[in-house]
Order: sequence, then structure tokens, then C-alpha cells
Amino acid sequence: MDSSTYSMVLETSEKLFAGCGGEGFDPALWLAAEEAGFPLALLSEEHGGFGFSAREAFAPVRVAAACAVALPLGETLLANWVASLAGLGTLEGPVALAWSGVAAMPFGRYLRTVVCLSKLDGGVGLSLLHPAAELWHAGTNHAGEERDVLVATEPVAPQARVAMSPVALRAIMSTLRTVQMAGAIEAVADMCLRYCNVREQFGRPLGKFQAIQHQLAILATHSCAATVAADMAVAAFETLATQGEEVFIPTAAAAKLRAAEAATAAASIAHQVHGAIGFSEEYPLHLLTRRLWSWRDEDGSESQWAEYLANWAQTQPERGLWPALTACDLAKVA
Amino acid sequence: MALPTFPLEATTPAQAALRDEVRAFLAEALTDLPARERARSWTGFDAGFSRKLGERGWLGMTLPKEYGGHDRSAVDRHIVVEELLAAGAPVAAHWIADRQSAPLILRHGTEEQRRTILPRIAAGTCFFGIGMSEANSGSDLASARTRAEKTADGYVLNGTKLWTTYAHKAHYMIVFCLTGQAESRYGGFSQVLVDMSLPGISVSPVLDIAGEHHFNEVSFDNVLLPPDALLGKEGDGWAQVMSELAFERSGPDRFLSSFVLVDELLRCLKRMPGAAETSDLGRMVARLMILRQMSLSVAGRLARGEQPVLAAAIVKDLGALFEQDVPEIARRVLHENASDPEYAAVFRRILLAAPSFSLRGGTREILRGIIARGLGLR
Repeated sequence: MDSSTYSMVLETSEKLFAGCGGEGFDPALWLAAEEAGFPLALLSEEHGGFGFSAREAFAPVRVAAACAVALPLGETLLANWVASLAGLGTLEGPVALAWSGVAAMPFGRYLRTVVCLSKLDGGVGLSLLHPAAELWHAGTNHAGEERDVLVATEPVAPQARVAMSPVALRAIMSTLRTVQMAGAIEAVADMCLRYCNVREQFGRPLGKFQAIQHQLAILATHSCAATVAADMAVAAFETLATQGEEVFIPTAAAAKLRAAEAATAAASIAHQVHGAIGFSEEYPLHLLTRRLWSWRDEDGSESQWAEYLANWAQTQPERGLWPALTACDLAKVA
Repeated sequence: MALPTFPLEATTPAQAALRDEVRAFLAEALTDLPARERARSWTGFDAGFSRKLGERGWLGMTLPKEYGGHDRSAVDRHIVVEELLAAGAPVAAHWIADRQSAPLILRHGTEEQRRTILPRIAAGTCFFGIGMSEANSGSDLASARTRAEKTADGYVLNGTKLWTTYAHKAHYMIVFCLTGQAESRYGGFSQVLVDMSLPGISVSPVLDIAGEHHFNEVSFDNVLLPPDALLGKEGDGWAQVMSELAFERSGPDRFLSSFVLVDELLRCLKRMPGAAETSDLGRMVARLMILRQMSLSVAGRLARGEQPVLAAAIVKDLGALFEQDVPEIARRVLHENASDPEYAAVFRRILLAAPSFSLRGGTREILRGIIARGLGLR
């Protein structure tokens, strides 16, 4: 399963993003990421991409999140994937998908193009916007990542469409946040372990105290669950064409929910075991935890996806939840 | 960092067909079993049902054919077990034998033991008990004092085991005991295979908080064991018992114990559409979906001959939390007017069984210790 491409992508992105963490968009780093081809990796070679699998294409997104790098990497990856599906060709980045009328867009002021989505009968309409910089009303999420509101746009008629349900597209966008959460939670766990191995109180490292050990064990269980959740969502995205939306949407919804639950637990434990230093601006923990607090509710809040899944479970026939769950199992391609 | 990996496990068409076959069989075989009985999960005992599973080839699946098994992978077995537990099938009779005793005998038993016992386990006619805990030796298994003294003719076994599930129905028990002088805390232990029909063994019931009898206290009073009762090597008991526990820790039995209540809850909710705030239900479904894949992933690693001890401990810790949360979530979601006698009986059974979920097979605290060790903290 660990293809050499996957390892290569991991290695390249770790080299590129390590030590580059910060609050907002970094134009120089964006150029470097573009140079590496990351934002177009999902596209076929004829469309200027690498024809990567979803797992390979999302790897730099996870690494960027783990390194607390603020780039519209996944946004551009997905916007280009949707655009190519609709026959709109390759879009110059950064690009992001955004629902028409939705308040805040990721990295709005830096976007070359916005792929504006609207609900149509039997699909989703796409129109391309190229808003001037002054049309953006600047804002941020809890982590200081740009989340800007586009003011006063004329309604634009859809230029193209994709035969996909709006909720499937929402689930695709939420998968980006799931992958980011998994990456950041693993980085949080790593930071906690390193800290607890060196920080001494009462004459021994914090990690030698059983109370701390159990907290770190709980953190590890959540990190593993979030990673599996992200892997599941990405795999279901990969097989969207063959296994269909019926498999992808509940899988992506569950993955986002589970990763969000893990994010809450991870941030809480991380701040607790770090004590006061973790609460200071100079220490890099907050670059990860503040993102986790944002991402768990971006692109479908935790409670929205919870309601979606509750409804999904309740609309199965009697004793039908189990068959519905197993129907979502990843199928081995012959 | 030393977090374990959980590679995704995809299902082959043959495995999907196996799942369908088991599901169709269970739909028929369990038609008359009410939900309150299905809620017993893997403590529901039905020797006839176990024999039927044996006839279908769904026990001893991973054992070699020459010992009556079916040469199937750990993943195939995982799929069958998932279906059994999701349906609330009464699997207790063969449960311990199939899950952990058979792999132990295959690895450490004599050729004679493999030839005589394993085919009976695969047939669903030979049942086992676990002889680990004692009155003064719970989580601290290394404090066990039951002893098998070596003699010219074999061993003489003395001591008392506690919390032995279905010892009163078991044909054999694998007893963890001292055989030598302990040169270290974990030394001097062995595992012996005890035929429960031998003289000197007494089994007395211990009731649980619901008044149910599955636990027992088992006393061995100068029980004479043949020399080949020794399972594996003398002095290797500690290592053997630890690898036995790895089989015990990651399966679907670690997150599906309360699944019948999930089904019952959904049945009752259909009577009150839109009446409740059900986001807790959605969270529960999400946790279950991810847990299933984590547990399947461990089965995949076992199938590849790995020993995923840390990953198994993580699945069991998360699984027990999930199983125990199910009745609490059900309380919050379901209005009492939407309940009925069947639901109420299922709810009570799960509620009263729930404390055991994070005790059996290693307490939550022991598991977290194992995880911490895996992280390099101990």
C-alpha cells in the first residue's frame, strides 16, 4: 500500500513545510508548493497534474497541517478536481470552492479564482469568479487563517455543472478538514510526548507520572482514530466513481465527526499536560490547537454532520443500520 | 513518535460473499430469538447453535485443515465474528475456545493435543475456560499463586481461579500457574491444560450484579495432571499469556457488546420521528464506523503474521468506551414514552453488563499502561 510515490510525496512535503508554521498565508511558500506541483496533483497529466491517487495527493495537505502551515493547498486541489470534472480546464491557483451566499471563504483575498457553487436540479452548478482584492472583507478563523467575506457580488449564471449532489460536494470539502485535523492531531501528540519526556517536575520527567501517562495514552487513541478516519474518507473519495455517493457521504461524515471529536480531546489534553508554557504565544502549540478548534466546525459543523448521520441511521429499515454500515466497507478493486 | 499504524483493510468480493452467507444463515437461525436474549451478546450460551456454526465451517477458521480447521485468514474470521455479534447470536459456548485457546494450542500444544482437541473446537463441541485471575490476582496477574508441582508422573495442581466464565460448562481450562521457583517477578510461570472432568476440581457459581450466572470460582485440590498437560515451555507462561491476551483484545467483541441496544433504540425512535435531539446518535454511528475499520485493520495485521499488541490495546480502550456509552446515549435520546417492554429489557441487560466492558480482557488502566509503554513513556 505504501507506494514509492506516496513516500516520495511525504518526504518532499516534509522538507518543504517543516519549520514554516505560522498564522496566515505565506506567498513565498505558496509559490514553492506550486513549484512542487502539489495543488494540481489530483489532475491527470494531460490537465497538467500528476494523476496521483487521492491518498498521494492529500499527503502534502496532511503534512502542511502538521507543520501548521497556512496554505490553500487542499482548497486548490479540490477546486481544480471539480473544475476538471465539469470540463472547465485547469485553474490558476490559489483557487477555492465556495457555496454561493456563504459568508467566509478560505484565503479569499489571495484567491485568483473562486469556484462558486450553487444547487441545481440533479447537480451542482459552477461559475468562476475573479473578484478584485478590494471586494474582500478581511476576516480570520480562531487560528488567524484568512477567512474573508466577498462583498457585493452580482449573481452569476452557472457556466458548467457536475452531476453530484450538493451534500456530496460538502462532504468532499469537509474531507479536506478531516485530513488536516488528522495531521495536526498527530503533530500535537508528538509535541506532547517530546515535552513530557524533557520537562521535569518533582525531580522526574512529567512522562514518568502515571496520571500524565494515561492522558497521553488517551491522546494517542484519539490520534489513531483521527488518522484512520481521514484515511477512510480519502479512500472513499478515491472510489467515489465506483462505490458512489451512498458510500462516500456517510463515510466522510463519520470521518469528519470522529476527527472533530479527536481534535477536541487532543487540544484539551495537550494544553493540560503543557501547563502554562503551552498557553503562551511564543510556544507553537496554539498554532495547532487553534486550527483544530476552527477546522472541527468548518465545512459542515460537528453538529450538522452529527444530525446528518443520525438521520442516515434513522432512515434505514428496521435492523438496517448494520447492513448500511457494512455496505460502506472499502471494496478491494480486483 | 511510536504511534501504531492502522493500514486500511479492503474487502474482497469473496469476503463480501462470506458476510452475506453468514447474515442469511443468522436471519433464519435466530428468527425466534427475542432482542432481550440477543442482548446477551457473547455471554449467550447455546451449545446446539455452536455446533451448527461448526458444521458451517465458521469455527476454527484460521486453523490448518489437518487439525480440522479451514485455513482461512484472520480477516475472514473477523467478518464472521462481526456478523455473529451484530446479530446478537449466542456464541458463548465456543467463544473462548475459538478466539484464544485454539490459537494457543496450535502454537504451543503437543502434536497429540492438536490432533485430539483442535478438530473438536472447530466442530463447536469443545469448550474452554480461561484460568488467569485469582482472588488476590486481578490486574496484577504476576501475583497468581496457583501452583502445579512437578512429580514423577506429571503435575499436582493446587489453587483457586476466579471470574472463570462458563467454567461450569467447559471441557478444558488453560490454567496460568507457578511451576518453578520465580527468579524474577514474571518467571516461574507456565500454562497447563486441565481436563475439567478430572477428580479434585470443584466449580462454584459467582453471580454478577444482574443476578446472572456465568462467572465461577474454580478450585483445584491436588488435581493430578499428566506430564503432557504442560502447554508450551515450563517458565514461558508469562510470555505465552501476554500473546494470548493480544488475541483477546482487538476483535469485534470489543465494540459490539451493546449493538443490540443500538438496533432496539433505532426501532423505538421510528415511533417518534423528529421528536428528539439526536445528534448524539450521529456521533455514536461515527465512532462505530471508525472503530470497525480500526479493528479490521488489526485483523489484517494479524493475518500478515504481525503481533499488533499496541494497536490491539488502542482498539480495546476505544471499543469499551463506545460500548459503555451506548446505554448512556440511549437514555438521552429516547423519550420514555417511546420505550416498550422489549426495549426496556434490552436496556437493563446492557446497562447492567456495561461495567464489565472495561474490566474483562485487561482493565482500562492496564490498557493505558500498555499504550504508554508503547509510546516509550515506561
